[in-house]
Amino acid sequence: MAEIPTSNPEIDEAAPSILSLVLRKMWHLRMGVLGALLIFCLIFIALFCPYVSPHDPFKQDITKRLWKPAFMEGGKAEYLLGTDHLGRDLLTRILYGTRISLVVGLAAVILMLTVGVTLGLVAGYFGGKADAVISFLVNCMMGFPFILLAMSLVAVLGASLQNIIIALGLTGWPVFTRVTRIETMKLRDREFVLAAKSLAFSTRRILVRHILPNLLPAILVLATVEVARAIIRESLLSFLGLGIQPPTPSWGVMLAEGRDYMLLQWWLAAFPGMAIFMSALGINLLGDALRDLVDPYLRKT
Amino acid sequence: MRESLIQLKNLTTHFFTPEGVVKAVERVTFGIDKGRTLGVLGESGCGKSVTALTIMRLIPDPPGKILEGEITFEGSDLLQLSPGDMRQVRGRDIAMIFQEPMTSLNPVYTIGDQIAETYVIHQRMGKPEAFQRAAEMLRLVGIPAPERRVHEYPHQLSGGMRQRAMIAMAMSCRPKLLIADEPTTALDVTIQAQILDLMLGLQEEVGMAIMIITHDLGVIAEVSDDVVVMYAGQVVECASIETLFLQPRHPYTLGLMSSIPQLGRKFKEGKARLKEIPGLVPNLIRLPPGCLFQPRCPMAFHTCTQQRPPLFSLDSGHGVRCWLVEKEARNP
Amino acid sequence: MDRPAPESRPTSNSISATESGDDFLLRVQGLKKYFPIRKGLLGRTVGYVYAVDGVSFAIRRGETLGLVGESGCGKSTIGRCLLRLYEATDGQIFFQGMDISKLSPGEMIQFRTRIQMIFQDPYSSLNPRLRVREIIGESLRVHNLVPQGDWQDRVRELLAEVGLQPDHMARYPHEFSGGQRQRIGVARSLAMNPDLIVADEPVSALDVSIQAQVINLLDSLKDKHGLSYIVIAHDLAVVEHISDRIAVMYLGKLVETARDRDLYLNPKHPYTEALLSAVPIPAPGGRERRKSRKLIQGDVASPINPPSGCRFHTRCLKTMEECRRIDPPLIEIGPEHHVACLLYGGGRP
Repeated sequence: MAEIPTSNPEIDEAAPSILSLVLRKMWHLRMGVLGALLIFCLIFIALFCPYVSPHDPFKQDITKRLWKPAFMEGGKAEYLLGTDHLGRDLLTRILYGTRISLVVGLAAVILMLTVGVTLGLVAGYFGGKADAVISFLVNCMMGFPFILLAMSLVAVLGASLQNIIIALGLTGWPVFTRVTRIETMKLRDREFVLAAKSLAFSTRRILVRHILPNLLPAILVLATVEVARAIIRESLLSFLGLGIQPPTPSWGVMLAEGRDYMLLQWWLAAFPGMAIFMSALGINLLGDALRDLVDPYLRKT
Repeated sequence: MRESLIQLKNLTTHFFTPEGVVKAVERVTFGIDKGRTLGVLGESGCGKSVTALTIMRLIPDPPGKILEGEITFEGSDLLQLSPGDMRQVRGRDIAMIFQEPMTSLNPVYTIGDQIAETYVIHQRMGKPEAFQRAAEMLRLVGIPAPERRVHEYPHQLSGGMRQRAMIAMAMSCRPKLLIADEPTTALDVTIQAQILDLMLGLQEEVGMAIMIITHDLGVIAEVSDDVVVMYAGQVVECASIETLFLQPRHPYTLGLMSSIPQLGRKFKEGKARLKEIPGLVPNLIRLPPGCLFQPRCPMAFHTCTQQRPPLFSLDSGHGVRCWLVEKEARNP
Repeated sequence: MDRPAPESRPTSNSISATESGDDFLLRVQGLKKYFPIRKGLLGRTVGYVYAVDGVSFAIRRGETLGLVGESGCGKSTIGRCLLRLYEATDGQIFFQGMDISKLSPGEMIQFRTRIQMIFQDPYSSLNPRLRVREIIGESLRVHNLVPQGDWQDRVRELLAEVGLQPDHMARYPHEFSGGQRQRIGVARSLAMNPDLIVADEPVSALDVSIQAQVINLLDSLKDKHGLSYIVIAHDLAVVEHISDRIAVMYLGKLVETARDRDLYLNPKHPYTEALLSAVPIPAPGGRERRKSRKLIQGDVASPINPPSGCRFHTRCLKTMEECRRIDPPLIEIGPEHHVACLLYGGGRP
């Protein structure tokens, strides 16, 4: 079937203004823009929560425990989302929780990237035995349930912020290896890589300058999604008591604390839950939009 | 006595994309007579494939839109038909074959399934009878051992075989017009010769008209009775095949003819550099004012930059869209 | 190692350790390339693709050799073997007298500067993430081909030589058309200052009106720099226009080699005849030509399971009984004219 005819880039002609092209693209990807906004808020909160929060997240006051959120009858305006069982302001704790989630999410993904992409490059470019070994490893790890692996690691290392990052990173890298390997194998046979070989460039140069930059779009999209997953997994581990320990305000910890009060003081679990949901949503929307942006570019080239 | 089978008039199809409006086909007018072959010559982006898809009304909407024009086929305007009626025309009266048989044949159905489908749908045949007819069609298009092949999948056949299977599919309802969009471009040259021979043989047998779309001037020379040359969405020259080669008038046609290497030419005329056409095909979103070929035309003069030339009529149905022929033209 | 010690451009004598004394720029002898077909979990080899099965030819300095044939004939594979992008299964390749399979790493780099390739697909032969000046200039910098700091000037020179605007060097490949990208690829090869350029289908992915531009470019560069070319293509008209000598391949073997004029006016091998008559000529009288054409039947056989004896015998219009048993060798039947066909001898009694 004939494709929709694309116009030939005539370099010397004036294009419509960059601004109008950008605005048009942003409308096209409005969901992604929404996601980006959400994430921007998250980052902002994470950075400036001491200045934005109304209270101290650790300050306990038994006299003020289990107060209702401000929008309900009997709620007080100074505790917008109510207080928890120890009298701490829920809103403040949620805002501080953003820090934990973002730090864990980003750090874990960076660890996954480093391990996963390196292994994927080796497997995809060199093939043979290296590929056989690495692929076997990847398949084994992907077959294992994440919880089991993470629990074992935490049992060995102990529960703390640092160890959660390690646990998430070391269990999450296989998917990066898989994607990197496939993309590398595709790129390895592309003519510009052959050209680089024929120009007598070293293997290191070819991998770093020619193959890796062309992997970035695929990996970037995967990384954004994995950040969301890492945040959710951190919440899960903390909920199970395997991660962040109270009194540190992680959303997962708050879920665990709020579990006993679900019936009457539902806000203790609901709002942290919503925070997890909004973060994951924002990241996924952004990731989808990134994929849209990146895919046509990939196809065009 | 030549009878007109299909007549296009002022056909205009544009695509509305985020980057702008792609004027793929602009006021295209030509006709095909019964039992004759029309060659549509042009390079990528000239609108030849979009014209064919417009005739078949297979333009995706959005982003494409058929804005204007008439397609008169057997007394009715194809653009006015209901979708149901158009579906009847497609496949039964007008059939189309494409360049890449691997992607135009469904890989998960056997060849027999796909050919038989047309019989089942358009002629309401039962499956077993349709399959038998399918095998006959495969034999007709020169596929050896058709009874066995009819149960094979597209990937089990070579490129030439797949193209023959596509032709079998297209021919199954004895169409009056076969549109072939670059049917041999992806094939080896010896296979191409076989396929072209097959198409012309079938044409003689069945009396159908062929519209062959290609960028290969050699193929045009061997199979066409009449030729339409397209550039940037417009018809720039139309003539019989003899006239086109003996008296080409449009600078683009002339440029094409002297820029393609021809076997043996350098021995007859001495080794000379090919006369290239400078520049690039225009951007279909931002077309130049005036004649669309003018930026690359060695014979352009002032009017060419100001006004788009109409299709002037010279003798015996020879049309040229160029200001240079204005004086000799018959129409005002 | 990316950076050998900067040195003046070596002359051809410093590469060859074992000069065999012939004046051929490139000599290929008995080249074979088989690709194993692996199946199953353990990757057992179940067969081979006999892509190139014993090919010998040579090319002189300043010559353009055209390598032509249909799909599966092995011509592209030969091109890649010449650049050692594939390792040959058997046979030898001598470049300027030196056996290229026995080069040390340092000599490999020098070899790579001498022989370059232009690739077929303008849309995948340039790294989409690099700017044009990087694409062309990378080799200049990595191999210290020009003094530090001068490389951008050299890139501008090269762009101008291939007919592009020098100030476009900061752009990315996707901002250029197919023909322009192909020119960038040519500039990239020229940066290494090669003696021989292997052009693998240099124009087949381009529009017809652009093909002439690139063909003419290759022509002028040849004269200007004293280059030799091996042009690999399936389009016989293009190959014939551009080549001094032509080698016709079928299913991994050479069937005929001759000077361009001799091949066109005096083809000997039945396959060459069939090819020549199958090419549609853009001139009036097409109908008559079609009728008088000697059409060969059938499809190209598979390089996985080639026919016995002469590979072409299953489709040949002049096949004889011996053709099924004997694989004809390439024999000389005229000045620089070789044929592999039992019609002209070579069969054992």
